[in-house]
Amino acid sequence: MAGSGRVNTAIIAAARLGQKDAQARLLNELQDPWFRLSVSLLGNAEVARDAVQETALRFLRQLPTFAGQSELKTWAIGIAINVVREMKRKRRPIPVPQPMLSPAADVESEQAEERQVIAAVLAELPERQREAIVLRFFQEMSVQQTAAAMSCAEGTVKATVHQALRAMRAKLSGRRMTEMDPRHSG
Amino acid sequence: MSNVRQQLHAAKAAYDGMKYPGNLAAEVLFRQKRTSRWMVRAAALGAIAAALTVAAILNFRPNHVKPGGNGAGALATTLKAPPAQESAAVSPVSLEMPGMPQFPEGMSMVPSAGSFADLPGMPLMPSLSTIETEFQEPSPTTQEAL
Repeated sequence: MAGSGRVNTAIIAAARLGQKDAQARLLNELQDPWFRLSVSLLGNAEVARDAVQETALRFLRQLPTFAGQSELKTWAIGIAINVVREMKRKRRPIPVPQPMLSPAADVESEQAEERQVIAAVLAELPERQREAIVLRFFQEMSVQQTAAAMSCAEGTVKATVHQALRAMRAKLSGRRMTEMDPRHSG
Repeated sequence: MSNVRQQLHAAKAAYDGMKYPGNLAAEVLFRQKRTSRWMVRAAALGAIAAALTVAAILNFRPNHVKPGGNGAGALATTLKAPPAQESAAVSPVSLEMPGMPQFPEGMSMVPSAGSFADLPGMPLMPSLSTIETEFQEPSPTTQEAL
């Protein structure tokens, strides 16, 4: 992207003018970040694929209006978040979140189990908290970039991440208690 | 770094391993192209249909106008495609409506006063006693039945 140096401003300018090759290059760069984000927030690969395609169409439509106030990737992630929010509102009930690990991952290892636990705990968080965690820790975006993508203030991002981490900590400790003593399960 | 943060960083490896299953650019750009082609075809078909309709309307001209007899005001118009040799002899169409029919002379709008004396009288209503006697006398049909 513009920040990473892989896609320079000339390609962005060409894509804004409607050149297909430049647009295709931008989409190639963005398809994986969009997909990861959508799977993490929607919890379903098929639904996430639909979300990515809708995001791409909207991205191409809105590209001429891109003012360059933020990085293109941040702006594009913001579009994906809006699409995911709209899909969640329209598609109820939301499909049961599946662990965001691929089946090919090392299933039997202890690390894989921990990741699945994290994925399950993440899926239980409120929407905004999940978005903030995914953007900050998985997309490795700064507080400023996360705020731009989520269309909120930086202070809101900090508070949301703090609440999310606290909630995750509580859920993880609750799970451990349940594993140690099943009577805690309730 | 807290335990949760460590676990999140560990989970990031799996997150980074996810790839979009396909070629987004080909899917989206092809879809846009297909949509625009479909729109162009629809617009072309619509334009052809409109042109045919206009041509049909322009080719069908009224051949002649016959007034419907007795001045009844019937405007008979025959729509027929004129043959090529008759096209020069087509008479202009007159759209003037015939005049109003005249009111017949010697007829007044109000009936004459003398005609009221010739009205027939009201029919007589049967009295109640007459009806009762009719019901008391058994009809021959009833007697035969008994």
